Amino acid sequence: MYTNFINQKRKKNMKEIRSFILRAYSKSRSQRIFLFLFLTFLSSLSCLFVIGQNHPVHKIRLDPDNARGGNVSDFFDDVSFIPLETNKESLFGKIYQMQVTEECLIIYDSETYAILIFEHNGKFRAKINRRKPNEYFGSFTLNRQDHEIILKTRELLLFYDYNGVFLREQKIDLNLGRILHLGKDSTPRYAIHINRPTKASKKDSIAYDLTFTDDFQELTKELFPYNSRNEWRQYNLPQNIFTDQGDGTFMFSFPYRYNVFEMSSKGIVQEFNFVFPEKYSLPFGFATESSFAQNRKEHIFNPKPENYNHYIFLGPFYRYGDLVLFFGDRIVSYMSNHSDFIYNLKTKDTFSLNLLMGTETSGFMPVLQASQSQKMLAVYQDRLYTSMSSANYMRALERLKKDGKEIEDKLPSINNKDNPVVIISTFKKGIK
Amino acid sequence: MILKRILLLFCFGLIICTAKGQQFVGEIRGGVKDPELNRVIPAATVSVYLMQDSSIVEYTLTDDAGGFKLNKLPLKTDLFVSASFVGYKTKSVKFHIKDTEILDLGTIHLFKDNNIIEEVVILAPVRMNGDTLEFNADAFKMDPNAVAEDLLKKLPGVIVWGDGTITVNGREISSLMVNGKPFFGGRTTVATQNIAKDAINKVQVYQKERNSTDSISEINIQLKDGKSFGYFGKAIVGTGSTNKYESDLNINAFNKRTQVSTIIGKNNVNKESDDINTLLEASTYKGAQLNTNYQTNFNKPGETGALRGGILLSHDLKEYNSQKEKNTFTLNYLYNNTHQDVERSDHVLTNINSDNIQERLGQSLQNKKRGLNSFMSQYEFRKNNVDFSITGRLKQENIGFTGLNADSVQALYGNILSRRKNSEYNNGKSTNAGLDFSISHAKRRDNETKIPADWEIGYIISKTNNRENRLLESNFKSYLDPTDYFDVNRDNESLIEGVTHKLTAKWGDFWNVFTKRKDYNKTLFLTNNIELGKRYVYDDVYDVIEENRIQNALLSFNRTEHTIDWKPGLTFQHTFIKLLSGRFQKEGKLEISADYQMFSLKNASDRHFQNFDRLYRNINPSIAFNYKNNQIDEYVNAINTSFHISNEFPTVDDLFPIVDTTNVYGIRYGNPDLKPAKRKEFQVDFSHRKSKKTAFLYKANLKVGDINNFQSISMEYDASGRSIIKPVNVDYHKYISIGGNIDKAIEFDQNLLLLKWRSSWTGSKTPMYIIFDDEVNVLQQTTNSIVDADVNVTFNYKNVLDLNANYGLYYLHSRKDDTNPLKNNSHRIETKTLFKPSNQMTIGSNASYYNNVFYGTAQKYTIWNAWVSYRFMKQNNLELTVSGNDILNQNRILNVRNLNNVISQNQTNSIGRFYMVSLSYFPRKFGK
Repeated sequence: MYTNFINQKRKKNMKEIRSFILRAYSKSRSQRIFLFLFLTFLSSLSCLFVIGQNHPVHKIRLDPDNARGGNVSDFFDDVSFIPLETNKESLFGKIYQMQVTEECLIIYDSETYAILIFEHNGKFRAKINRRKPNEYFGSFTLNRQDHEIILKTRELLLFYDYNGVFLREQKIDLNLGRILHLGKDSTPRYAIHINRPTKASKKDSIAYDLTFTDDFQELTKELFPYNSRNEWRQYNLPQNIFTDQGDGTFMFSFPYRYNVFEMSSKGIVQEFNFVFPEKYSLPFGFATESSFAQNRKEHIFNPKPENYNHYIFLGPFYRYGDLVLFFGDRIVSYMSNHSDFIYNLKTKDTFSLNLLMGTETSGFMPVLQASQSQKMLAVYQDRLYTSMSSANYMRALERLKKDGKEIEDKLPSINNKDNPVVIISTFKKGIK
Repeated sequence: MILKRILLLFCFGLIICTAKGQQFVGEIRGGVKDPELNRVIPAATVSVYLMQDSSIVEYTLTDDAGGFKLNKLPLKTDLFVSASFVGYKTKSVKFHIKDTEILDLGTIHLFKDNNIIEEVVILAPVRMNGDTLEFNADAFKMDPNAVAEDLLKKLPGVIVWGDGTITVNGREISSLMVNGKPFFGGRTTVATQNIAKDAINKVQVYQKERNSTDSISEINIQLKDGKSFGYFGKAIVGTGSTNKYESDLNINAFNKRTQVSTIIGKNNVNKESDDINTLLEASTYKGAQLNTNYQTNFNKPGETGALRGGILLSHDLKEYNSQKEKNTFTLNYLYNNTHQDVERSDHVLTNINSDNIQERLGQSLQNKKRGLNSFMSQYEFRKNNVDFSITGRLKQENIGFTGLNADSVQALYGNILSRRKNSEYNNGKSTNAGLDFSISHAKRRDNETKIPADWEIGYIISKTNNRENRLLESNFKSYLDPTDYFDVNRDNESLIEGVTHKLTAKWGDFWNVFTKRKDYNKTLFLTNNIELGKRYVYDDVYDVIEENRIQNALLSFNRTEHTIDWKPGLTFQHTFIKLLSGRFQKEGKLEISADYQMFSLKNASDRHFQNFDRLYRNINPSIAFNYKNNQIDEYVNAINTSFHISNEFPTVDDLFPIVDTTNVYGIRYGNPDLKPAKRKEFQVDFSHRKSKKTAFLYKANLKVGDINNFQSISMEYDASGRSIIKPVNVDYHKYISIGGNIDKAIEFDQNLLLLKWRSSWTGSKTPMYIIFDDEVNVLQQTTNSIVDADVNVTFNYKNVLDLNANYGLYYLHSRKDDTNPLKNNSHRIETKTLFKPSNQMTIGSNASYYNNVFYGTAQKYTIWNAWVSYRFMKQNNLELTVSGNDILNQNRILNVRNLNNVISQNQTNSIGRFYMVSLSYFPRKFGK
C-alpha cells in the first residue's frame, strides 16, 4: 500500500528514468547489479537534492569497552530531581518519549496510551487520552512555533495545545509511518519515516525510507531508496528514528545503520558515521545488501550468543556543541547497559553516562543508572533530561542512607509506586 | 511415650541449632573501580575467603556505583577479599576484623588484561552474564564427594525443599536442565543428587520467558568441558531377619546426545514402583533423604515381593543447544513382577434407619501375583513453529489372585443374621497398546495470509485385550430363614476386546479473518474432538455340579458395544494486559467455549434385553476467567475461576447388566430408565505469593457443584443382611469443597525452617433410597462431610541435621435424614530425623503414630524405623546400612471410609518387624 502511494506521488521524471532502466534490463541477471548501482547513485543524488551541497561527515571510532567514567560534576554544574506529580489522573507507566518546551515537559506513555503534560517543577498540567479504544498514536511531534502537539493516527492528524486542549484535526490520505514536524515555516513541513511494506513487491521497484510533505497530499521529496522486491517489513524496528533537539535541528538514523544525520529545515547539515569494534558490529552490508534480507529477522530475533552485543539502532541522538550524546540499542536489550555515551568530537574521548559517579552536585546520585537499560530523554537548551523509576530512585536513596550519606534536600522522598522522577542535569559552562 | 521423646528431641534440636547460629557479625564495605578509565565497575564479583584454606565465606556483586557490602563475616580471623570482572585482572586484599565493626576497605582498583581468556578468569563465585546469574562451581569449596544439590543449597535465594522441589526467590522452578536438556527423564533429584559437584562448570539461573515480568525461573547445570559424559548408579544387596532380602542394580550412562539407564532388582520388603523414574530417584548417590517415594512402604497392605528390570533411553538424533529445537527419540521399558500376601479384616456399619444399624464383619486372606511389561517409545521434533511427536505404548499385565473370604452380617450389638464364605481364584492377562500422534503449527505473526494457520491435530489409537479365568466357590446362609442358603461352584472365562480412535483438532485464529483490524488480544478457534469406540465383551460361565460343568445361561453372554462421542466446538479467548513499568503487571484471560456433544451407544448382544441404542445430544458451555496481579517486587496474586456444564452417560452395566446374585452383600441391578446426568460445576482458586527471597505462598480454592439427574443408588436390605444396589436418577447431588495451603520458608544463618500447611473440607448432599425388608420406598438425604488437614515442619541445620514433624487429621462425618451421625476420625503424627555427624555416617529415624477412632472406638499404633549407614572408600562409594523396621512390630494398617449411609474400617497386615543389613556400591565417573 505504501509503495503504491509513493509510486503515485513520485516525480514524473524520476519515474520515467527508472521505468526505462528497468524495462531495458528486465529478466536479466545483471538487472540487480545495475539496480543496486543505480540505487546507490540515486541515494547520493537524493541527498544532494535536499541539502544542495555535500554535508560534513564525522567518522567516529567508538569502543564501548573503553568508554571512560568520571564524576557527574565533570559534565554538569547542577543536577535536580523532579518527581512528576502522581494522582489518579496523572499516573502513568514509563516515559517512552519526552520533549521539552519553554513551558512544559510533554511525555508519551505507551502503557496507558496517553500524552501527559507536566510543568517544569513536576506539577501535573494535563493529559491527552485516546479518544476511542482503537485509536493509536505511537509518538508525537511538536509545532514549537504555534505551541501545538501533533499526534498521528491511521487517518488523522490531531492537534492539541500545551494544555492538552484539542484544537483541530486534519484528514490524511494514507497512514505512512512516524512523522516529524520540521517547523511552521519550513518547506517541506513534515518528514515522514515510512515503514517498509508488509510484503515484498513481485518485481523490482524503488521505495524510500524517508519522505517529506507539506500537507500529506503530495510527497515533495524522497530519500534513502531501496528495492522493495528484496526489502519488506522484516527490516522495521519500533524505535522512533527522529530526535527533535528543540532548536530547529533534528537528528535521525535508520535501523541497522551506524550513520546518524543532523537535519534542519534546509536539509541535512552533517552526518556522524560510527565504527564499532567487530564484536559490537552487525555484519558489513547488513542493512543494505539484499543477501541479508532473508535472514535479517533470524539474526535479530533469534540471535546467536556471539551476536547479542551487536548494535541495531543508534538513538535517541543529541548534539550539544562538540558533544554528541546517544543511546546504542543492542540485539538483546538487556545487554544494552552502559550504552548511553557522550562523545567529544574535539578530543575524541568517549564517556559512559551510566558510569559517572554521583557527586555533591547530584546529591551523590547518578544521572542514569548503570544496571538499567535506559535512554536519555532530551537535550534542551543547556540541560540533559533523564529519568529514574520511583522504585529504583527509592532503592538508590536507601543505598545512600546505608552508605552513611546525608540525604540532601535536592533528593525528595517519594513513594515507590509514584510516577518516575525526571533528572535535569545542567551542562557545565563552557563544556560545549 | 516414644512419641513424646521424639518430639522433645525435635524441639531440643531446634533450640541448639538456633543458638549455635550466631557467630558471624563482622562487616566490610568498599568499591571497585577501573582507575585507567576512571569508571566504577558495577556487577563485579567480590568474594571473601578464609586465608587458612581459601574456602569461600561470603560473596556479592557490586551495585550500580561499584560499591559492595558484605556481612556475617567471622571475627578475629585472617581473611582476604577478591574482586574480579571479565577482562580485568583479579585483585585480592587481606584483612582482619578485630571486633564487631564495619571495616571500610576503600576502593579496589582493577586493571584490564586483554590476554585473559574469559572462561579462565571467571573463578569468582557469581557473575551476571546478561540476564543470567551464573554461579561458578569451582569457587565453592566443598567436600570432594559433594553433589549438585549440596551446591544449590549454598546459592542465595535457592531453597531445596524436603520433597526435592527447588524454589528460587520463593518461586518454584519450572524445570532443571543439564547442559540445556532434561536429565534422565527430567526428575530434578536424579540430576541434583547424582551429578558430582566437581563435574559442574556453572549453575545458571534465568527467567524462562525472558520478556515477561513474572516468568518462571529455570536452572541449568552446565557441566565442564570433558565432563559431559560419564556414568553413575547404585548396586545394593541386603539380607535381613524373617528371610527378608533386597538387591538392586542401576547403571546410568550419558554423553552429549545419549542418556541410557538400566535397572534390575529383586526384594521382598515392600519396595515397589511401576515408574522407572521413581526407581532412578531412589538410587541416587546422595542417598537417604527425609522424603523418598521408594522405600519400604508400611502403608502397603501385606507383604510384597518384587522382581523388576527396566531401561530408559533418550537420544538426540541431531545435536542442538536451544530449547526452541528438539529432535529426540526416547524409549522406556519396565518389567515388574510382584507378589503380595494380605490378611485383611473389615468392619462395616450400615445406617438403615433410626433404629436399625447393620454391622458386617469380614476376614480375608489374599494372594496377588502380577507381572507387568510396560513399553513406551517416543519421537519428538520441534523446529521453528512446528511441533511434532509420535508415541507408541504397550502395557501387558498377567494377574493371578487367590482369595479366601468369610464375612457375616449382624444387627449392631445383636445376633448374627447371615454369613458368607468365598474362595476365589483368578487368572488374567491384559494387553493395552496405543499410538499417539500429535502435530501443531503456530502461525508466524508476519504471515499476512487470511487463512488461519494456527492448528493442532492429535490422534490416538488404543487397543485393549483382557482375558480372565475365574473360579469361585461361594456359600451363603441366612440364620433367620434356614431355607435361605446357596452353594455355588463356578468357573467362568471372560474376554474384553476393544479399540478406540480419538481425534482432536483445533484450528484458528478466525477472529482476525472476520474482523478488519488485527487484534492479537482476541482469538477464535474451532475445535473438534471425536472418539470412536468398539468393544467386544464375552463371558462364558459354568456351574460345577458334582464335577460336571454346566453352562449358566443366565450369566453367559457376548455383546458388542459401539460408542461415538463427537464434540465439535467453538472457543473464544480474550486476553488483556495492563502494566505500569516497575509497578505492576495485570493480566487477564477470558475464555468462552461451547461444544455440541453427540453421544451414541449401540449395543448388540446375544442376550436380547441388552440390545439397545441410545443417542444423546447436548450443548456444553463453559466459561473461565484467569487474572494475575503482579505487583513488582512485592507479591503476585492470581485468581482462576471457571464454570462448566458436562454430561455423564449411563453405561450398559448401569442400564442392562448381567446380574450375579452370589455377591449377596452387594448385588448390582440395572435400571433401563436411567437418564444422563448433567453436571454444573463452579471453581475458584486464589493464590498469593510474596516476591521475596524466601518462599511465602498461600492458596485457597473453592469448588461447588450440582448434578441434575444424578445417578444415585437405591439400597435394598433384607432381614438377613443381603443388599441389592440399583442405580436411580435423583434430582440433585450437591457438593462443595474448600481447601487451602500455606508454604513458608524461614532462613537464618545457614539453617532453614520450612512450614507447610494443607487442609480441605468436602461436604456433599445426596438423596438415595434405602429400603428395608420390603418397607416403603422413601427418598432420603445423606449428608457427608470430610476434613483432611496436614501440618508439616522441616528444619535443616547446616546440612548436618534434618528434622521433620507432620500432623495429619482425617475426619469423616455421615448423616442420614432420620438418624444419628456416623463418625470416623484418624490422627497421624510423624517425625523424621536424619543426622549426619560426618560425611560418612548417617543416622536416621522415623516414627509414625496413628490413632483411628471408628464409631467411638479408638485404635492406636506406632510404626518406628531406625537405621545407621556408613560410607567407605575415598569417594564414599561403598555404604553399609543396618536398619530396624517396624521395631515395635505393630504390623498393621488401618483405613477408614465413608460413603453415604455406610462407614467402614479395614485393617490389613503389613510387612512387620525385620532387621536388615545392606551393602551399597555407587559406581560413578564424570568425564575421563
